[in-house]
Amino acid sequence: MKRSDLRGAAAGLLVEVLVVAVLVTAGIAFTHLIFLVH
Amino acid sequence: MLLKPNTEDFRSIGFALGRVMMVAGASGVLPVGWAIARREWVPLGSLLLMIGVAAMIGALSELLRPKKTRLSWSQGMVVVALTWLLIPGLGALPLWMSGHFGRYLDAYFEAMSGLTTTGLSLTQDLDHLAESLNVWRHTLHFLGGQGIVLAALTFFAGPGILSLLHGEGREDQIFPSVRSTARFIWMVSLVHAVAGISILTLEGIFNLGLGGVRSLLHAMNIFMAAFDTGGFTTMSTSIAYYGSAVFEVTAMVLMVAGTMSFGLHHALWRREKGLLRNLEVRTILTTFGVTLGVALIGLKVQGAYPDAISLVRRGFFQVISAHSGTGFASISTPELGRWSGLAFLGITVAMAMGGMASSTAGGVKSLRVGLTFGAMLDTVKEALLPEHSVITTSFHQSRRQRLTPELAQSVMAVSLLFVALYLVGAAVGYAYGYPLTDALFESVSATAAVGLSVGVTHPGMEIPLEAVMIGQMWLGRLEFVAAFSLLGFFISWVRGE
Repeated sequence: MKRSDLRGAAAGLLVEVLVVAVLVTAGIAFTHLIFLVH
Repeated sequence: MLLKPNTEDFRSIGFALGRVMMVAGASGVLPVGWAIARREWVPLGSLLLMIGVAAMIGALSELLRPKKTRLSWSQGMVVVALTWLLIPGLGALPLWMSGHFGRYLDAYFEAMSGLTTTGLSLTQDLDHLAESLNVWRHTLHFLGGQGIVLAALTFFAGPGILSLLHGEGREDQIFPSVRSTARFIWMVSLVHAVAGISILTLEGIFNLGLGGVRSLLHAMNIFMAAFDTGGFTTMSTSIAYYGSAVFEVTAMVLMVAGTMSFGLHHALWRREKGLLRNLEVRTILTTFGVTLGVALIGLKVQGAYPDAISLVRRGFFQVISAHSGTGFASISTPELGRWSGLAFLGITVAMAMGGMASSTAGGVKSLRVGLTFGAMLDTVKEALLPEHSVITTSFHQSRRQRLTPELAQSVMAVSLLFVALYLVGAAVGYAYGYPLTDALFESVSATAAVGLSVGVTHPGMEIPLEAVMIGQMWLGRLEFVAAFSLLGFFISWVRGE
């Protein structure tokens, strides 16, 4: 495996972690909103 | 006029099947190694028997060696369809011999569920199943998810076997050659395996006190099930067994990785820009957001959890598990069965939608959902605009493409077949006395290769219902095309000239 492959892999993994982080944050914010409204 | 298959057709198909069976047998090396390391001699015997049977079939297929080993498209389709029927038969052998299955059909169901990356289980007393056999269940996920046919290509590659890839619903030809595509898929998997297994093992050792070997066992199994969107787990209580946020978050990242198409993995790998413009990415983000929102509102209205954090932790995990087609549960089966109204709707629709094309996820798939929606919009536009207006719709998927009527028709046909299969399974479950909602939930779960259960799937379930669910898993994984090719092959054999 070349160094550029590893960098690509790390970038891919980072994006996946970021996607989960953004979605979880949005989920938490939305749930708090529901609790406020309902 | 139908052309009757000739002897050479049968030789080509038999030879290719023999090769694939040998790969399946060879994959038993991982559980065999575990059995030796953990001194599980009885399971070792059954695993070796399975490998021996696979080797014998492989050796016998040499007798069928055709004049040219290159498969035609239709032969490739038949091989794929039969592969997904025969390997569960082989993989079920050690499971059945373990005594944890009431009948051979249950073990076959389990192996089919493993190979199709579904995750529904009929194992009795799973918590006391030998470790090596548990590794074998999860290895079946890995085999199925990574494409057993692709594995065969890696070892016995010939350019003519390209058609096999198409039959598995892997439509993206990421690289020009099969070998480099296979290499890329293995490379992506390896990187995720190292990262995922390391984190889970460390969490198991230092936080959960599982010990080194058990932590590695659990980490390996969870990686194979999450990255291949399978859903089997080492313990009967699924992910809830760990009660660990680290396990849940790691599993979520792996599930997201598993539901992404390998085309998208490749684009991320090359750090391409503008991926959010892809119809498939937009569709999956939209459907995930909507189904999650609906489920969370439903859970709040239902009063299922007392506070926001408990609700979002369980609701979010279940919806991502459902939408990615994995089927891990962070709550118990009875608790999931109590989800009703909007929560039930949200999670069921999430399961039905599925992940991206060219991934290990099942279901209708996001690209089809997006294109179906586009085609429906076209129909509405046609009705509203003046009679002679010309409507052309395009979408972005790697590049700008036109949504032609032919494309719309083929996409809608497969989507409709999925919906029909969801309904047929639900009708059969209902006929056996299960509540309609439970029957529908389990039917969608089986067809879309998810694996979440509200209790319809259980040891001792009715044999016809079990057989229908096996058929659903098989048809859903092959996305109908290869199964229809197999049917066409048999019709040509019987009625052809």
